[in-house]
Amino acid sequence: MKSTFQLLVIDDDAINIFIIKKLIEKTGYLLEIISMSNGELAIEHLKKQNSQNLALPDLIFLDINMPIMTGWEFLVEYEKLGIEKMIPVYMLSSSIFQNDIDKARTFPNVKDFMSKPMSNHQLINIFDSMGLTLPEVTE
Amino acid sequence: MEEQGTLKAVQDFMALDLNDQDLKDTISIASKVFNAPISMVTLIDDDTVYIRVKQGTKLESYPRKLSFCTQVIKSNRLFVVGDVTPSRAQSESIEFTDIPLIRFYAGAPLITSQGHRIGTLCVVDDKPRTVSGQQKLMLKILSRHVMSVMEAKIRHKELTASYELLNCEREKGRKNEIKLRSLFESMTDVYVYLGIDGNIIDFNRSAFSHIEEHTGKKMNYGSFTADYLTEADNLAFMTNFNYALKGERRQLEMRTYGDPENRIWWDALFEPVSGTNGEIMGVSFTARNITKRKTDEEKIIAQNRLLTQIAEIHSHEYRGPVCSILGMMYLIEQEKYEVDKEYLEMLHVAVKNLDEKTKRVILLINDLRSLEADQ
Repeated sequence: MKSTFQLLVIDDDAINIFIIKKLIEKTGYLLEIISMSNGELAIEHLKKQNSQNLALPDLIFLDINMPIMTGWEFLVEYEKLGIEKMIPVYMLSSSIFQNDIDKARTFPNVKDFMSKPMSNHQLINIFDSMGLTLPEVTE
Repeated sequence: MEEQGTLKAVQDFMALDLNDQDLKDTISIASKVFNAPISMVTLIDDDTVYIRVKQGTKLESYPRKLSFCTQVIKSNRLFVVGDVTPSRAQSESIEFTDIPLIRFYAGAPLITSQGHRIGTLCVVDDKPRTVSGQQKLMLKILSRHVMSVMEAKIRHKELTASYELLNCEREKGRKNEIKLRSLFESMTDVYVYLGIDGNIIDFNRSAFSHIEEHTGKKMNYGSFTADYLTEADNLAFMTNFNYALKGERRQLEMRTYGDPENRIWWDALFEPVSGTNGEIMGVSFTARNITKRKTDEEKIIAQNRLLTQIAEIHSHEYRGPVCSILGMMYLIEQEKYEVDKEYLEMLHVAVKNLDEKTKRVILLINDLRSLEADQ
Protein backbone atom coordinates (compact mmCIF):
# COMPACT_ATOMS: atom_id res chain seq x y z
CA MET A 1 0.00 0.00 0.00
CA LYS A 2 1.31 3.40 -0.91
CA SER A 3 2.14 5.38 2.18
CA THR A 4 0.45 8.71 2.81
CA PHE A 5 1.99 11.87 1.42
CA GLN A 6 4.03 13.39 4.21
CA LEU A 7 4.69 17.08 4.74
CA LEU A 8 7.40 18.19 7.17
CA VAL A 9 6.92 21.74 8.51
CA ILE A 10 9.97 23.22 10.21
CA ASP A 11 8.90 26.40 12.06
CA ASP A 12 9.47 27.69 15.58
CA ASP A 13 6.08 29.44 15.60
CA ALA A 14 3.41 27.03 16.87
CA ILE A 15 0.64 29.33 15.67
CA ASN A 16 1.98 29.21 12.14
CA ILE A 17 1.99 25.42 12.26
CA PHE A 18 -1.63 25.49 13.47
CA ILE A 19 -2.54 27.81 10.58
CA ILE A 20 -0.88 25.55 8.02
CA LYS A 21 -2.62 22.47 9.40
CA LYS A 22 -6.02 24.16 9.31
CA LEU A 23 -5.45 25.54 5.81
CA ILE A 24 -4.48 22.11 4.52
CA GLU A 25 -7.59 20.64 6.13
CA LYS A 26 -9.69 23.19 4.26
CA THR A 27 -8.10 22.27 0.94
CA GLY A 28 -9.41 18.74 1.30
CA TYR A 29 -6.13 17.10 0.43
CA LEU A 30 -5.28 14.29 2.72
CA LEU A 31 -1.73 14.26 3.93
CA GLU A 32 0.27 13.52 6.99
CA ILE A 33 1.75 16.58 8.63
CA ILE A 34 4.67 16.45 11.01
CA SER A 35 6.21 19.52 12.50
CA MET A 36 9.57 20.31 14.09
CA SER A 37 10.10 23.51 16.06
CA ASN A 38 13.71 24.02 15.00
CA GLY A 39 16.22 22.93 12.39
CA GLU A 40 18.34 20.90 14.76
CA LEU A 41 15.45 18.65 15.75
CA ALA A 42 14.53 18.30 12.09
CA ILE A 43 18.06 17.20 11.16
CA GLU A 44 18.07 14.66 13.97
CA HIS A 45 14.69 13.30 12.84
CA LEU A 46 15.75 13.02 9.19
CA LYS A 47 19.04 11.39 10.11
CA LYS A 48 17.21 8.76 12.15
CA GLN A 49 14.59 8.12 9.47
CA ASN A 50 17.22 7.81 6.80
CA SER A 51 19.50 5.47 8.70
CA GLN A 52 16.67 3.18 9.68
CA ASN A 53 15.24 3.23 6.19
CA LEU A 54 12.01 4.68 7.51
CA ALA A 55 9.70 7.02 5.65
CA LEU A 56 11.12 10.34 4.69
CA PRO A 57 8.90 13.39 3.98
CA ASP A 58 7.71 14.11 0.41
CA LEU A 59 7.64 17.86 0.93
CA ILE A 60 9.26 20.30 3.33
CA PHE A 61 8.07 23.72 4.39
CA LEU A 62 11.05 25.49 5.95
CA ASP A 63 10.85 28.70 7.99
CA ILE A 64 13.84 31.01 7.50
CA ASN A 65 13.87 32.95 10.73
CA MET A 66 14.38 30.42 13.54
CA PRO A 67 16.48 30.35 16.70
CA ILE A 68 19.29 27.78 17.22
CA MET A 69 19.51 26.98 13.51
CA THR A 70 18.11 29.19 10.76
CA GLY A 71 16.46 27.84 7.62
CA TRP A 72 19.67 28.45 5.66
CA GLU A 73 21.78 26.67 8.21
CA PHE A 74 19.37 23.72 8.08
CA LEU A 75 19.87 23.41 4.33
CA VAL A 76 23.64 23.24 4.75
CA GLU A 77 23.30 20.44 7.30
CA TYR A 78 20.67 18.70 5.21
CA GLU A 79 23.05 18.45 2.24
CA LYS A 80 25.61 16.81 4.51
CA LEU A 81 23.11 14.07 5.32
CA GLY A 82 23.35 12.87 1.70
CA ILE A 83 19.76 11.78 1.48
CA GLU A 84 19.14 10.31 -1.95
CA LYS A 85 15.46 11.18 -2.14
CA MET A 86 14.86 14.49 -3.87
CA ILE A 87 12.59 16.30 -1.40
CA PRO A 88 11.33 19.66 -2.62
CA VAL A 89 11.66 22.52 -0.12
CA TYR A 90 9.57 25.68 0.09
CA MET A 91 10.99 28.45 2.21
CA LEU A 92 8.62 30.38 4.45
CA SER A 93 9.38 34.01 5.12
CA SER A 94 7.58 36.72 7.04
CA SER A 95 8.91 39.49 4.77
CA ILE A 96 10.03 39.54 1.17
CA PHE A 97 13.34 41.04 2.21
CA GLN A 98 14.29 37.64 3.57
CA ASN A 99 13.94 36.13 0.11
CA ASP A 100 17.56 35.73 -0.89
CA ILE A 101 17.05 34.33 -4.38
CA ASP A 102 20.76 33.97 -5.10
CA LYS A 103 21.26 32.00 -1.94
CA ALA A 104 18.28 29.77 -2.76
CA ARG A 105 19.85 28.94 -6.13
CA THR A 106 22.79 27.28 -4.40
CA PHE A 107 20.46 24.60 -2.96
CA PRO A 108 18.96 22.46 -5.71
CA ASN A 109 15.92 21.26 -3.76
CA VAL A 110 14.66 24.76 -2.87
CA LYS A 111 11.75 25.38 -5.21
CA ASP A 112 10.38 28.75 -4.13
CA PHE A 113 9.67 31.24 -1.38
CA MET A 114 6.29 31.63 0.26
CA SER A 115 5.28 34.67 2.23
CA LYS A 116 3.46 34.14 5.52
CA PRO A 117 0.56 33.99 5.96
CA MET A 118 -0.06 31.43 3.26
CA SER A 119 -3.24 31.09 1.28
CA ASN A 120 -5.19 27.97 0.25
CA HIS A 121 -4.43 28.62 -3.38
CA GLN A 122 -0.69 28.51 -2.86
CA LEU A 123 -1.06 25.17 -1.10
CA ILE A 124 -3.37 23.76 -3.77
CA ASN A 125 -0.90 24.76 -6.48
CA ILE A 126 1.92 23.04 -4.69
CA PHE A 127 0.01 19.84 -4.11
CA ASP A 128 -1.16 19.79 -7.70
CA SER A 129 2.32 20.22 -9.00
CA MET A 130 3.40 17.26 -6.93
CA GLY A 131 0.73 15.08 -8.40
CA LEU A 132 -1.51 14.90 -5.39
CA THR A 133 -5.15 14.32 -6.02
CA LEU A 134 -8.17 15.07 -3.97
CA PRO A 135 -9.69 12.05 -2.35
CA GLU A 136 -12.84 10.64 -3.91
CA VAL A 137 -15.92 12.03 -2.33
CA THR A 138 -18.01 9.06 -1.41
CA GLU A 139 -21.58 9.92 -1.14
CA MET B 1 93.65 112.48 -8.85
CA GLU B 2 93.93 110.21 -5.89
CA GLU B 3 93.00 106.54 -6.24
CA GLN B 4 89.68 105.26 -4.93
CA GLY B 5 91.12 103.53 -1.90
CA THR B 6 92.79 106.65 -0.65
CA LEU B 7 89.69 108.78 -1.19
CA LYS B 8 87.61 106.30 0.73
CA ALA B 9 90.13 106.32 3.54
CA VAL B 10 90.07 110.13 3.62
CA GLN B 11 86.28 109.99 3.84
CA ASP B 12 86.41 107.57 6.76
CA PHE B 13 88.83 109.74 8.67
CA MET B 14 86.84 112.86 7.84
CA ALA B 15 83.89 111.27 9.59
CA LEU B 16 85.86 111.03 12.81
CA ASP B 17 85.51 113.47 15.62
CA LEU B 18 89.08 114.67 16.13
CA ASN B 19 88.35 116.99 19.02
CA ASP B 20 90.88 115.13 21.06
CA GLN B 21 93.28 116.32 23.74
CA ASP B 22 95.99 113.89 22.66
CA LEU B 23 95.94 115.32 19.13
CA LYS B 24 95.89 118.85 20.41
CA ASP B 25 98.90 118.13 22.60
CA THR B 26 100.69 116.51 19.70
CA ILE B 27 100.37 119.50 17.42
CA SER B 28 101.31 121.73 20.29
CA ILE B 29 104.55 119.78 20.66
CA ALA B 30 105.12 120.08 16.91
CA SER B 31 104.79 123.87 17.24
CA LYS B 32 107.27 123.93 20.10
CA VAL B 33 109.72 121.72 18.22
CA PHE B 34 109.92 124.30 15.44
CA ASN B 35 109.15 127.27 17.59
CA ALA B 36 106.38 128.17 15.21
CA PRO B 37 102.92 129.38 16.23
CA ILE B 38 100.82 127.47 13.69
CA SER B 39 100.50 123.71 13.50
CA MET B 40 97.76 121.50 12.04
CA VAL B 41 96.57 118.08 11.09
CA THR B 42 95.14 118.11 7.58
CA LEU B 43 93.12 115.62 5.53
CA ILE B 44 93.29 115.98 1.77
CA ASP B 45 90.82 114.70 -0.82
CA ASP B 46 90.66 115.40 -4.58
CA ASP B 47 90.28 119.14 -4.38
CA THR B 48 90.45 120.37 -0.81
CA VAL B 49 92.75 120.45 2.16
CA TYR B 50 90.75 120.18 5.37
CA ILE B 51 92.31 121.46 8.58
CA ARG B 52 91.02 119.04 11.19
CA VAL B 53 93.15 119.82 14.26
CA LYS B 54 94.64 123.26 14.55
CA GLN B 55 96.64 125.66 16.60
CA GLY B 56 97.31 129.29 15.76
CA THR B 57 94.75 129.56 12.96
CA LYS B 58 91.04 129.48 12.53
CA LEU B 59 91.05 128.34 8.90
CA GLU B 60 88.85 125.32 8.16
CA SER B 61 89.96 124.43 4.66
CA TYR B 62 91.52 125.67 1.41
CA PRO B 63 91.88 124.56 -2.16
CA ARG B 64 94.31 121.79 -2.73
CA LYS B 65 96.05 123.23 -5.75
CA LEU B 66 97.79 125.83 -3.75
CA SER B 67 99.32 123.92 -1.01
CA PHE B 68 102.56 122.69 0.24
CA CYS B 69 100.58 119.88 1.87
CA THR B 70 99.75 118.45 -1.54
CA GLN B 71 103.41 118.30 -2.27
CA VAL B 72 103.97 116.40 0.94
CA ILE B 73 101.52 113.64 0.10
CA LYS B 74 102.62 113.49 -3.48
CA SER B 75 106.24 113.02 -2.61
CA ASN B 76 105.34 110.82 0.35
CA ARG B 77 108.02 112.32 2.51
CA LEU B 78 108.80 115.13 4.71
CA PHE B 79 108.80 118.47 3.02
CA VAL B 80 110.43 121.43 4.56
CA VAL B 81 110.85 124.91 3.22
CA GLY B 82 112.92 126.92 5.65
CA ASP B 83 112.65 130.10 3.62
CA VAL B 84 109.71 130.49 1.30
CA THR B 85 110.23 132.87 -1.59
CA PRO B 86 107.97 135.87 -1.31
CA SER B 87 106.08 135.10 -4.55
CA ARG B 88 105.41 131.57 -3.47
CA ALA B 89 104.57 132.81 -0.03
CA GLN B 90 102.06 135.14 -1.56
CA SER B 91 100.03 132.41 -3.28
CA GLU B 92 100.31 130.01 -0.38
CA SER B 93 99.14 132.53 2.15
CA ILE B 94 96.17 133.60 0.10
CA GLU B 95 93.76 131.62 2.17
CA PHE B 96 95.52 132.12 5.44
CA THR B 97 94.01 135.38 6.46
CA ASP B 98 95.32 135.19 10.01
CA ILE B 99 99.01 135.24 9.07
CA PRO B 100 100.71 137.85 6.86
CA LEU B 101 102.90 135.55 4.70
CA ILE B 102 104.00 131.96 5.07
CA ARG B 103 107.75 132.07 5.06
CA PHE B 104 108.29 128.71 6.77
CA TYR B 105 106.64 125.33 6.19
CA ALA B 106 107.39 121.85 7.50
CA GLY B 107 105.06 118.96 6.85
CA ALA B 108 105.06 115.18 7.24
CA PRO B 109 102.64 112.87 5.43
CA LEU B 110 100.02 110.91 7.36
CA ILE B 111 100.09 107.38 6.01
CA THR B 112 97.49 104.75 7.09
CA SER B 113 98.45 101.17 7.87
CA GLN B 114 96.97 100.35 4.45
CA GLY B 115 99.44 102.69 2.83
CA HIS B 116 97.03 105.49 1.93
CA ARG B 117 98.36 109.05 2.17
CA ILE B 118 95.43 110.87 3.58
CA GLY B 119 96.88 114.15 4.80
CA THR B 120 99.68 115.89 6.75
CA LEU B 121 100.95 117.03 10.07
CA CYS B 122 102.47 120.43 9.36
CA VAL B 123 103.91 123.47 10.98
CA VAL B 124 103.83 126.99 9.52
CA ASP B 125 105.22 130.44 10.36
CA ASP B 126 105.70 133.89 8.91
CA LYS B 127 109.42 133.92 9.75
CA PRO B 128 111.95 131.79 7.93
CA ARG B 129 114.37 129.55 9.79
CA THR B 130 116.74 126.68 9.36
CA VAL B 131 115.72 123.23 10.44
CA SER B 132 117.83 120.49 12.02
CA GLY B 133 117.73 116.80 11.31
CA GLN B 134 116.47 116.19 14.80
CA GLN B 135 113.54 118.56 14.29
CA LYS B 136 112.67 116.72 11.09
CA LEU B 137 112.83 113.42 12.92
CA MET B 138 110.57 114.76 15.64
CA LEU B 139 108.06 115.81 13.02
CA LYS B 140 108.15 112.37 11.50
CA ILE B 141 107.61 110.70 14.89
CA LEU B 142 104.79 113.06 15.76
CA SER B 143 103.09 112.39 12.44
CA ARG B 144 103.21 108.66 13.13
CA HIS B 145 101.66 109.28 16.51
CA VAL B 146 98.84 111.32 14.99
CA MET B 147 98.18 108.45 12.59
CA SER B 148 97.97 105.83 15.35
CA VAL B 149 95.63 107.98 17.39
CA MET B 150 93.34 108.42 14.40
CA GLU B 151 93.44 104.77 13.45
CA ALA B 152 92.64 103.78 17.01
CA LYS B 153 89.60 106.03 16.81
CA ILE B 154 88.46 104.40 13.60
CA ARG B 155 88.82 100.92 15.07
CA HIS B 156 86.94 102.02 18.14
CA LYS B 157 84.12 103.32 15.98
CA GLU B 158 83.92 100.02 14.09
CA LEU B 159 83.90 98.01 17.29
CA THR B 160 81.11 100.11 18.73
CA ALA B 161 79.05 99.57 15.59
CA SER B 162 79.57 95.80 15.78
CA TYR B 163 78.63 95.79 19.41
CA GLU B 164 75.43 97.72 18.64
CA LEU B 165 74.53 95.19 15.96
CA LEU B 166 75.16 92.29 18.28
CA ASN B 167 72.99 93.87 20.92
CA CYS B 168 70.23 94.39 18.38
CA GLU B 169 70.35 90.75 17.32
CA ARG B 170 70.34 89.61 20.90
CA GLU B 171 67.30 91.77 21.61
CA LYS B 172 65.49 90.33 18.60
CA GLY B 173 66.36 86.84 19.72
CA ARG B 174 65.07 87.61 23.18
CA LYS B 175 61.78 88.98 21.84
CA ASN B 176 61.32 85.88 19.67
CA GLU B 177 61.97 83.69 22.63
CA ILE B 178 59.30 85.52 24.59
CA LYS B 179 56.83 85.09 21.75
CA LEU B 180 57.59 81.38 21.47
CA ARG B 181 57.42 80.95 25.19
CA SER B 182 54.00 82.55 25.46
CA LEU B 183 52.80 80.36 22.62
CA PHE B 184 53.90 77.21 24.40
CA GLU B 185 52.48 78.30 27.68
CA SER B 186 49.10 79.16 26.19
CA MET B 187 48.78 75.79 24.46
CA THR B 188 46.31 73.44 26.04
CA ASP B 189 48.28 70.65 24.48
CA VAL B 190 50.96 69.10 26.60
CA TYR B 191 54.49 69.94 25.46
CA VAL B 192 57.72 68.39 26.71
CA TYR B 193 61.15 68.70 25.14
CA LEU B 194 63.63 65.93 25.92
CA GLY B 195 67.35 65.66 25.32
CA ILE B 196 69.04 62.62 23.79
CA ASP B 197 69.35 60.97 27.20
CA GLY B 198 65.64 61.31 27.76
CA ASN B 199 66.18 64.13 30.26
CA ILE B 200 63.45 66.76 30.41
CA ILE B 201 64.87 70.00 29.08
CA ASP B 202 61.70 72.00 28.71
CA PHE B 203 57.97 71.75 29.26
CA ASN B 204 54.91 73.98 29.27
CA ARG B 205 52.26 74.76 31.84
CA SER B 206 49.84 72.17 30.49
CA ALA B 207 52.41 69.41 30.93
CA PHE B 208 53.22 70.56 34.44
CA SER B 209 49.56 70.81 35.45
CA HIS B 210 48.71 67.44 34.01
CA ILE B 211 51.47 65.66 35.88
CA GLU B 212 50.72 67.48 39.10
CA GLU B 213 47.02 66.68 38.83
CA HIS B 214 47.56 63.00 38.14
CA THR B 215 50.57 62.14 40.26
CA GLY B 216 50.84 64.98 42.76
CA LYS B 217 54.46 65.44 41.64
CA LYS B 218 55.91 68.70 40.34
CA MET B 219 57.76 68.31 37.06
CA ASN B 220 61.22 69.88 37.02
CA TYR B 221 64.04 70.40 34.56
CA GLY B 222 66.56 67.61 34.29
CA SER B 223 64.22 64.91 35.56
CA PHE B 224 63.03 61.94 33.53
CA THR B 225 59.62 60.69 32.41
CA ALA B 226 60.21 57.58 34.51
CA ASP B 227 59.91 59.85 37.55
CA TYR B 228 56.29 60.59 36.75
CA LEU B 229 54.85 57.80 34.59
CA THR B 230 53.94 54.26 35.57
CA GLU B 231 56.29 51.57 34.35
CA ALA B 232 53.89 50.47 31.63
CA ASP B 233 53.22 54.02 30.44
CA ASN B 234 56.90 54.91 30.49
CA LEU B 235 57.78 51.85 28.44
CA ALA B 236 55.32 52.93 25.76
CA PHE B 237 56.64 56.49 25.92
CA MET B 238 60.30 55.54 25.68
CA THR B 239 59.67 53.16 22.77
CA ASN B 240 58.30 56.01 20.72
CA PHE B 241 60.96 58.38 22.05
CA ASN B 242 63.68 56.06 20.79
CA TYR B 243 62.16 55.88 17.33
CA ALA B 244 62.07 59.66 17.18
CA LEU B 245 65.67 59.83 18.36
CA LYS B 246 66.63 57.83 15.28
CA GLY B 247 64.86 60.40 13.12
CA GLU B 248 61.45 58.77 12.76
CA ARG B 249 58.50 61.05 13.39
CA ARG B 250 55.88 59.17 15.40
CA GLN B 251 52.25 60.26 15.44
CA LEU B 252 49.79 57.94 17.14
CA GLU B 253 46.85 57.64 19.50
CA MET B 254 47.99 56.36 22.88
CA ARG B 255 46.06 55.36 25.93
CA THR B 256 47.48 55.38 29.43
CA TYR B 257 47.27 52.20 31.45
CA GLY B 258 45.36 51.92 34.68
CA ASP B 259 41.72 51.79 35.81
CA PRO B 260 39.30 52.03 32.90
CA GLU B 261 37.63 55.04 34.52
CA ASN B 262 40.90 56.94 34.76
CA ARG B 263 42.44 56.08 31.43
CA ILE B 264 43.28 58.95 29.17
CA TRP B 265 43.49 58.90 25.38
CA TRP B 266 46.19 61.05 23.76
CA ASP B 267 46.78 62.11 20.19
CA ALA B 268 50.57 62.17 20.55
CA LEU B 269 53.43 63.37 18.36
CA PHE B 270 57.09 62.50 18.92
CA GLU B 271 59.16 64.75 16.66
CA PRO B 272 62.96 64.59 16.31
CA VAL B 273 64.65 67.96 16.75
CA SER B 274 67.84 68.70 14.82
CA GLY B 275 70.46 71.28 15.57
CA THR B 276 71.99 73.64 13.00
CA ASN B 277 74.55 71.00 12.10
CA GLY B 278 71.81 68.51 11.19
CA GLU B 279 72.40 66.17 14.11
CA ILE B 280 69.44 65.16 16.25
CA MET B 281 69.70 66.89 19.60
CA GLY B 282 66.40 65.99 21.19
CA VAL B 283 62.79 64.97 20.85
CA SER B 284 59.77 67.22 21.07
CA PHE B 285 56.64 65.62 22.50
CA THR B 286 53.22 67.22 22.05
CA ALA B 287 49.98 65.55 22.98
CA ARG B 288 46.30 66.41 22.91
CA ASN B 289 43.81 64.88 25.29
CA ILE B 290 41.22 63.12 23.14
CA THR B 291 39.58 61.07 25.84
CA LYS B 292 36.26 62.75 25.32
CA ARG B 293 36.35 62.15 21.60
CA LYS B 294 37.27 58.52 22.13
CA THR B 295 34.62 57.84 24.71
CA ASP B 296 32.11 59.65 22.52
CA GLU B 297 33.16 57.39 19.64
CA GLU B 298 32.68 54.32 21.78
CA LYS B 299 29.32 55.63 22.91
CA ILE B 300 28.22 56.23 19.34
CA ILE B 301 29.19 52.69 18.41
CA ALA B 302 27.13 51.34 21.29
CA GLN B 303 24.21 53.56 20.31
CA ASN B 304 24.42 52.34 16.76
CA ARG B 305 24.42 48.77 17.93
CA LEU B 306 21.24 49.40 19.88
CA LEU B 307 19.62 51.27 17.02
CA THR B 308 20.46 48.43 14.68
CA GLN B 309 18.91 45.97 17.07
CA ILE B 310 15.77 48.09 17.28
CA ALA B 311 15.63 48.36 13.50
CA GLU B 312 16.10 44.61 13.21
CA ILE B 313 13.19 43.97 15.51
CA HIS B 314 11.00 46.46 13.71
CA SER B 315 11.73 45.06 10.30
CA HIS B 316 11.96 41.36 10.94
CA GLU B 317 10.91 40.24 14.34
CA TYR B 318 7.53 41.95 14.35
CA ARG B 319 6.72 40.26 11.08
CA GLY B 320 6.55 36.82 12.60
CA PRO B 321 3.81 37.57 15.16
CA VAL B 322 1.99 39.87 12.71
CA CYS B 323 1.93 37.13 10.06
CA SER B 324 0.57 34.72 12.65
CA ILE B 325 -2.19 37.17 13.58
CA LEU B 326 -3.01 37.73 9.92
CA GLY B 327 -3.01 33.98 9.29
CA MET B 328 -5.36 33.36 12.19
CA MET B 329 -7.72 36.13 11.07
CA TYR B 330 -7.73 34.62 7.59
CA LEU B 331 -8.72 31.24 9.03
CA ILE B 332 -11.41 32.78 11.22
CA GLU B 333 -12.76 34.69 8.23
CA GLN B 334 -12.85 31.48 6.18
CA GLU B 335 -15.00 29.90 8.93
CA LYS B 336 -17.27 32.92 8.64
CA TYR B 337 -16.27 34.03 12.12
CA GLU B 338 -17.89 31.01 13.74
CA VAL B 339 -14.95 29.28 15.32
CA ASP B 340 -14.02 27.16 18.30
CA LYS B 341 -12.43 28.66 21.34
CA GLU B 342 -9.18 27.06 20.13
CA TYR B 343 -8.87 29.62 17.32
CA LEU B 344 -9.30 32.59 19.64
CA GLU B 345 -6.79 31.15 22.08
CA MET B 346 -4.29 30.86 19.27
CA LEU B 347 -4.99 34.44 18.28
CA HIS B 348 -4.43 35.51 21.84
CA VAL B 349 -1.02 33.80 21.92
CA ALA B 350 -0.02 35.54 18.69
CA VAL B 351 -1.02 38.92 20.10
CA LYS B 352 0.95 38.25 23.26
CA ASN B 353 4.05 37.38 21.19
CA LEU B 354 3.76 40.70 19.43
CA ASP B 355 3.42 42.40 22.78
CA GLU B 356 6.63 40.73 23.97
CA LYS B 357 8.51 42.03 20.97
CA THR B 358 7.31 45.60 21.49
CA LYS B 359 8.37 45.41 25.13
CA ARG B 360 11.86 44.40 24.04
CA VAL B 361 12.04 47.44 21.82
CA ILE B 362 11.02 49.64 24.72
CA LEU B 363 13.85 48.22 26.82
CA LEU B 364 16.38 48.82 24.07
CA ILE B 365 15.18 52.40 23.65
CA ASN B 366 15.59 52.80 27.40
CA ASP B 367 19.19 51.64 27.11
CA LEU B 368 19.70 54.19 24.34
CA ARG B 369 18.32 56.94 26.55
CA SER B 370 20.65 56.08 29.41
CA LEU B 371 23.65 56.14 27.06
CA GLU B 372 22.67 59.57 25.91
CA ALA B 373 22.18 60.73 29.50
CA ASP B 374 25.78 59.71 30.27
CA GLN B 375 27.19 62.32 27.90
